[in-house]
Amino acid sequence: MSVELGHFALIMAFATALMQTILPMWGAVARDPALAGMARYSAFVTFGLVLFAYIALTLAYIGSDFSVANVVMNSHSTKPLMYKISGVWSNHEGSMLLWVMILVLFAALVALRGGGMPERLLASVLSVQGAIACAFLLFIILTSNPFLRLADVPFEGQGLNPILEDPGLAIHPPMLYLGYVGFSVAFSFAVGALVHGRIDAVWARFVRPWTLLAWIFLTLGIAMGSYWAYYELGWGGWWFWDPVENASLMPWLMGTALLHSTIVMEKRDALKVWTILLSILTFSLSLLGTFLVRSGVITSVHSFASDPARGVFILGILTVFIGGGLSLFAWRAPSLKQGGLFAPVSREGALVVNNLFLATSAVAVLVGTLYPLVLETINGSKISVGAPYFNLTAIPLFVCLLMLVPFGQSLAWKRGDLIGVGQRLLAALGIAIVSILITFAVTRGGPVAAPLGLGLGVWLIAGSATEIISRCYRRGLSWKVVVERAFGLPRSAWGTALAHAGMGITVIGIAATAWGVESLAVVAKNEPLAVGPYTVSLEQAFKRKGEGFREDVAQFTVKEGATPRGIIESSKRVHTGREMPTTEAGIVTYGFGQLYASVNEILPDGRVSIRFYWKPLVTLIWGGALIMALGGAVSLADRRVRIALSAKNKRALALRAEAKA
Amino acid sequence: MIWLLIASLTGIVILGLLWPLAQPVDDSRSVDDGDFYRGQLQEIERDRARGLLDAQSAEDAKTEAARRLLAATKVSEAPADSGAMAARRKIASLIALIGVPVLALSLYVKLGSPTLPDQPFAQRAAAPDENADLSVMVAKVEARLSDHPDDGLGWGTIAPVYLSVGRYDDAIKAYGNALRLLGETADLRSGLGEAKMAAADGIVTADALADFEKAFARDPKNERAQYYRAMAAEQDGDKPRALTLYRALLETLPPDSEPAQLVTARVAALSGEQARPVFDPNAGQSAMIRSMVERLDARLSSDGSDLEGWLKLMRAYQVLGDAPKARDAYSRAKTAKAGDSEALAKLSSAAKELGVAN
Repeated sequence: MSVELGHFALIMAFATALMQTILPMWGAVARDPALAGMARYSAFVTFGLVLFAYIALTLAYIGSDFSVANVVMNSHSTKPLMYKISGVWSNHEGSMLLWVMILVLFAALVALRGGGMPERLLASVLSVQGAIACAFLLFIILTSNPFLRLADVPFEGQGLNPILEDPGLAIHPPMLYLGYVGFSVAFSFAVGALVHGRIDAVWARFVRPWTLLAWIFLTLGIAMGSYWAYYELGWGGWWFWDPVENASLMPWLMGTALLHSTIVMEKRDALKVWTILLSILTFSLSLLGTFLVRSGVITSVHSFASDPARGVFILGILTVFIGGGLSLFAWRAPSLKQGGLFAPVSREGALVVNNLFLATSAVAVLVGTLYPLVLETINGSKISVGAPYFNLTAIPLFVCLLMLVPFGQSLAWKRGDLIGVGQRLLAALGIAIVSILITFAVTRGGPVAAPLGLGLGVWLIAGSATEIISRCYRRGLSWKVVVERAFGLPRSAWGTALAHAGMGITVIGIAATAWGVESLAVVAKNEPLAVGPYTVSLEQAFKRKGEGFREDVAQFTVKEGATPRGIIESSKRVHTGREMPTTEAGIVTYGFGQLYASVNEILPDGRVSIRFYWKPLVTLIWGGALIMALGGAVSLADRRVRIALSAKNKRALALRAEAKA
Repeated sequence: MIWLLIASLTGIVILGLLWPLAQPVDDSRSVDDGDFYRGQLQEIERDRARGLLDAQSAEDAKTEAARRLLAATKVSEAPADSGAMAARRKIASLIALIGVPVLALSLYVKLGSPTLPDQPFAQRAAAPDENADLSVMVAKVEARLSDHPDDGLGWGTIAPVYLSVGRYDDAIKAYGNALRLLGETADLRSGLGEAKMAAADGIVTADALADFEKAFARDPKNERAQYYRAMAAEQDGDKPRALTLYRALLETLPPDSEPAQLVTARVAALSGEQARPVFDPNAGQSAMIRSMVERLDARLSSDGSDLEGWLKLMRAYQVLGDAPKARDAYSRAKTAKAGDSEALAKLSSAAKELGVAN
């Protein structure tokens, strides 16, 4: 009963989402508070219905109800409970349902938190959210319905793929979706503003937390996906410029630009039209990401939907929302009231530069991702644009941007003092240069780029530290006062510093990959093998049985000089029933670096063919991403109500206000 | 019962949608931008009182907020017309009251299966009338093999079952394990060959043939080995050899048994200059074809994603003269491929062509 009721709830949600689209927008245009007021309740009702449907499907998975085709295809009665639950979104239909559930959840949250928002803005925002929900609900119901039933009920399901049973894979998609879908709120706000023809600091203030929230989740989702690829695929790499990875990187880059431009808009009432455009583009790239992963146009590990009918439907959705959004922009943007002008050397000027770099790099990634697709469509040739392209285009842009970050961060609003900033950053620059020189000296003859990259990371961290220190420390102040001032700093200042320092930490981790060491060998028992600063030797190779699998384990002892540093093991695993062999990498963390073992084969004579990597500082890559997300969270906690003013320009403003009065 | 629940859910939803319309319009709720800046001014004042802002910057902030407040109130809109509002409310209520249930119900009736009850695993497994389902046996043996991977008899038992439900790759592995653990027998060896042949879509590959040859060498009376050796010759186009081998097999078979009929049909087909493989309908309604069709049927019942398989199945039943089963296959294929418009189109055109549907 619950399955069918869930199916009905999903269809009903389409109907209520349609209401949510039409009536509030009518109310907003006709300035009717009663109709506009329907927006919030219909958002709640739609969310309730989709949640109901989602729970019904999850219950069918938990109870292994094989009368549901989707459960048969993707689950099995002997799966652990956790993977039955995550099995819901491990397939195309279920993951689209999760996508929509997150979408309507965001709409409901906007409705809940929208107390102080102008009613008309709220109504049009929720109406646009409703339209997106409509499109995706119809897509699910007509082409990817997870509630289709089977009359002949098979006794057992087929979804017993042990490779997909992994905590990383279970958590990674919801995180990414929270990010992708979160940007829909920014899109809805942008379209809402275009419909109204009004956009100002109020708008920016309401849209900013949602953008920040989406950005935090997307950052975490990308980091988690990267770590999953690193430990599960067994190649030791952490980023492959795979189309699916790029699909999440593009909205991240554009979203980061959006995040920064909303600050300018909120603080200075400028960059309005550009911010609207970025909102539309960011969500467009999120949609494109969904399209790239879901349509199966791109052959890749992740693409599990390969049905052209669905592809055409998604293409339709893309056309309507991206094309529609951009057309509305082209039509209405010229009528928007432009914001104030500002000096090139100022915080807002620096943020414009940041935006240009980020948007350009997003475009560079987009071209590299889509070009092979387009080429294949035109003349059928399959080419692969790999790392060399991205290393030549996106990476230099990133490097330039990152070199400028500490300057932008330290510049004052309205009119900055570049020389003053330069003087303040002198110490940070010194620290960066010294660390480059020391690293060169220590790693003589090593790769050249690595110390430079490390210096860039240090520069970012030191720049962030400079910003915080210069804001709370003055010569002659007692330490107590300095600490008080540090606590008194707005949380957004701390958030900015944390996020930029986190970026620096990630950069250091990436730079350090150049010092990685790889050893591939066939070793006999107790035969030592040098891997970077460590020596490993085969302790034993043995068979072991786990729950649902058996494995051939190669166990090594690790020594640093003569000091034992524990054991590391990697195994070839065979899952019973399916007889599918997988390689389980062994990873042991020393400091910030990791020793990574991946067994190729255990030979009959007891020798082991194995691949070892020593990856210094590799954990910083993901650690930095976590700190970036933390910075976002701290910034989100900021009570951003006051209109902050730069200390330097108080008088100028006061004078101008007087003149106006 | 289900309709009762659907009706209640619909009722609750409509109530939720119409709730705001039933409320008196609260003018104070229509917050405009002015309120935002007025709130901001109060906030600045509070912060100043708490000592978070010094007097000068509070003053500056208030000045800027006030300036924006002025700008915001300047563009404030005219109030709405109340007569038109009442009319709009009526239309909105009607849409919610009629449009939502009609749209939802008509879509659901088209797509849903309201008559099918939930069938959770635990309930089905505990049901007393469960007549020792094949899959239950498979599950049990698999569980046992997972604990005792060296149980050769277990592998030997499950291998033909895998073969019959179409899990050919699993069958190959199971036969391989059984051979490794139990030692060489003609039966297991020819089974491995058959699994390989089935995995190669019915082609007796060189690899599979090697297995049949081994089985034949061990036991020249092994019917499966004999049959497939003949079929290999037939597929190679070596008709004389195929005929010799078929005839030799026929001598060892009890006359009028099903296998004998099948082989006779092959011989007749070959001597009639029609060198077509087993699926040729003209070869007669042999037991072998039947069993192959049933195997395909079983496989598609558990995994309905194979469109080509469905088309083959429909054609096979129709050719075998079993029209009800062909229609049944067509309707099951439609259920399995529901939502895939391209596959549905192919199915329906094939059904028309075959005369399964009109």
